[in-house]
Amino acid sequence: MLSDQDMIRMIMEGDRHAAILLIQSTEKLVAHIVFKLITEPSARKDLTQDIYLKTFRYLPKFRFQCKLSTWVGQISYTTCIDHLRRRKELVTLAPGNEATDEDIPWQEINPETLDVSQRLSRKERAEILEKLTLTLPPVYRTLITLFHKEELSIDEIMDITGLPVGTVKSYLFRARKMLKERLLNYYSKEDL
Amino acid sequence: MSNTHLTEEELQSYALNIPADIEAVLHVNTCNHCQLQVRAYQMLYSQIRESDTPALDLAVEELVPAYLPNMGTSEIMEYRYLYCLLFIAALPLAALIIVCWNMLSWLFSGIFTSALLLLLCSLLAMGIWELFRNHDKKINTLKPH
Repeated sequence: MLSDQDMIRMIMEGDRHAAILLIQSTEKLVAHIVFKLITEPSARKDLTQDIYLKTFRYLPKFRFQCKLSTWVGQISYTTCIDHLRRRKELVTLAPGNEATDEDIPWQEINPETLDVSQRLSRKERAEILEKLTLTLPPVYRTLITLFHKEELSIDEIMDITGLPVGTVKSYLFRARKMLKERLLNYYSKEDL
Repeated sequence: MSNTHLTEEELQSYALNIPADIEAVLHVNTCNHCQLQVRAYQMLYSQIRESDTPALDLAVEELVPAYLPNMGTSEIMEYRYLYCLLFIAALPLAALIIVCWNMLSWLFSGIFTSALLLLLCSLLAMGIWELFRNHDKKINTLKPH
């Protein structure tokens, strides 16, 4: 496996194979960020291209302040947030003005589509979780995915999102609480 | 054993297997309400972990730009210009100090000398400390996990 320095050096020497390796090593992280922040499928493709275009354009300016993958994550996050701001789809969660579980309108899920009285398959549970996650604000669902799915540390999430440590922890806490409460609403005790 | 339920924060930590105090463990072992909450959190965490990673609707080759960046002449020239500018800006300052030396000499006499030295040493120490922290952070980042 190539180190960050070697990969950057090779890319800057014009090695396309190294560029492909960089994309392959970061595509999961980028996909998580793009899919959690952007719900509109048509915009995802353009944003992904934009993210990698920026990554390669600004690669000579990378100063090793963090891991290369974290830096690509930063570009992904800011590109998606800028897109949401332009579309005015971003719910600002400024300190003191943070949405509570009651404030955030969340889509009702048709109970007929979710047969919670029966033991549910893994796929069905995944679908329920996906639908419940979509009811969270975009930043919440991104943080929860980065922490629990990508298993990034709080420090790495801070680097990617630029949010202060207290905010990251507080958003994670609220996101987990909201999702847990919604899961409890949809599952019987036996299903848990 | 405590009779009060665990707080939401404690429940989240408990489900993440972050060591809890003995009172909390004893309480969860005997409290159905807290057990249900912990199970709900554990199920949530495991479902997120097991969820599928979304796939980008693009071939990797499509994402590589036709022309890769080149830390070539333009970037290096940018830095050279910057250093030249700094050098040129420093020249008049040095000339001014030499010309006005008599007027500035009070800065290097009496108590001012000590104060100036103290200030310079503090700035130097802060600079070295900042360099050390940056270096440490970079080394930690580059260490394989």
